[in-house]
Amino acid sequence: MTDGREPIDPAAVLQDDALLDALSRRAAPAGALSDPAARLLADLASALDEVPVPVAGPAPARGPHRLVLRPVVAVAAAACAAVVVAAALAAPQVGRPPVATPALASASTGNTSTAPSAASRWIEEAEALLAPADVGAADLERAGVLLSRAQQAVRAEELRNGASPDREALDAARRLLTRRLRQRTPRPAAGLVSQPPLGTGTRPTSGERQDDGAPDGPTGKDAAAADHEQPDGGGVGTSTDDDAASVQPAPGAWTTTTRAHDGADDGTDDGTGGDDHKDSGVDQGDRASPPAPGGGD
Amino acid sequence: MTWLMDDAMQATLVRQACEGETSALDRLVEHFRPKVFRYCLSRLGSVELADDVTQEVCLGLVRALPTYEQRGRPLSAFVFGIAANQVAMARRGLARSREVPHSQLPDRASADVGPAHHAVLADQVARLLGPLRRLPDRQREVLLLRVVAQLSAEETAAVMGMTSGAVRVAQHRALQRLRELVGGEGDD
Repeated sequence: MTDGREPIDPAAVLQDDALLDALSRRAAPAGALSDPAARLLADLASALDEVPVPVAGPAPARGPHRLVLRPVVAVAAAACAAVVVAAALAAPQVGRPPVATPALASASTGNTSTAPSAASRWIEEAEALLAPADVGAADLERAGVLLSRAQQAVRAEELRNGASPDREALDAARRLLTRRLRQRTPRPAAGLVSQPPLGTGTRPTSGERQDDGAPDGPTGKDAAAADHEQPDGGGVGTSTDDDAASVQPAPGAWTTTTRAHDGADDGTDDGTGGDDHKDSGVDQGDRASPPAPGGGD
Repeated sequence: MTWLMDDAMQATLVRQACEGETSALDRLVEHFRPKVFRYCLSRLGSVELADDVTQEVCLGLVRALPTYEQRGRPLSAFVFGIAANQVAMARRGLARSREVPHSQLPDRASADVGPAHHAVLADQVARLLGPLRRLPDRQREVLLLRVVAQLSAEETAAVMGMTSGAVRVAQHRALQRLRELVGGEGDD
């Protein structure tokens, strides 16, 4: 073992020094490579030399110091642009989006020269899909995708120029899409069923919580009324089991409708992110069930 | 002495760079950048991270050169001293952060060599670095500076704050240990 306390052979030290000098020059003699350590180091140096040194851009005339600075600036600009665009897309559609420099906008979108025309084309296509009152689910989905793309393009245009000529058309198309979605889903049906938040799965699975959102049927009305009549909203609710028995789901199923959030007035259901569902559920529930005092019993 | 650029030439370039000669600065960065990158890659194992750290080292060099004073210490020792510090900082940052650095936004095609080539190279480097990782830190650092960074024993000594004799002894012990390790693996 070489634990540092063994005597050192000066000749071996010099020999190893010469070997490392040769390896660092990448000129180790073939005989030296019979040494496994030397071969390992030679292979390592060779492998590392093969890895291409990343260079930011083909601009040798501008000098390596520019190449050093460029990637840092470019990555920072691209990251800033990505953050700005993500924030703008996530923000509600009010007010003017933050104005970014053209460099940032182009960094975020790449080929933005065709963005306005592409956006208008996507908007027109979506409007055509949404034109029939009885638009199908596939068309709705396709229109949603198109409008999402159009929104990104319009956002990019707004980031670059401060405004986009397609903004009004886009907003109109989005309103149309919302209308069509509402027409298609009069109640928060299966598509809007929310999953219970993690860690809150102790809620009872009794019938009144298992409404599958059947539109406007007597069962739905009764169940909705039963929910409204829950005294504490989050209780076991055995008083409504009879009414809800007709909509019993599979045992153990945990499909809480949005009205379940509505009923959870005691705060036992935190319903993270479920505010929209809750609101729509209230509306739909009100439409589905007329005021029914005592209807739960 | 650093290979391909002797001390006199390096001193001249440093003086010119300090006087604002951009071409001299270009040559210095051009000379050091690949070596620093390979050294960082051998220490960090990630091309992207090594590239980031290399950028930091080069920026540090560019910033420091105007006020750099030659006091008999080779410039390569100065550069790889920065590199060693930056690598240590990157490793500390890596321990805290789980992010994966990427050189560009991932929404466009890369013009680099393919991912398969990258994977093969990364695997090869990782495999070759395996026995080295079993050496004591100081011995491993000496070998990497000598072979990967292509520094002389004197330059390595300047980077590590040792005498050149101590470096030679350390590298001798490192090679002996490495022979044992590799030979042992070969026997298995």
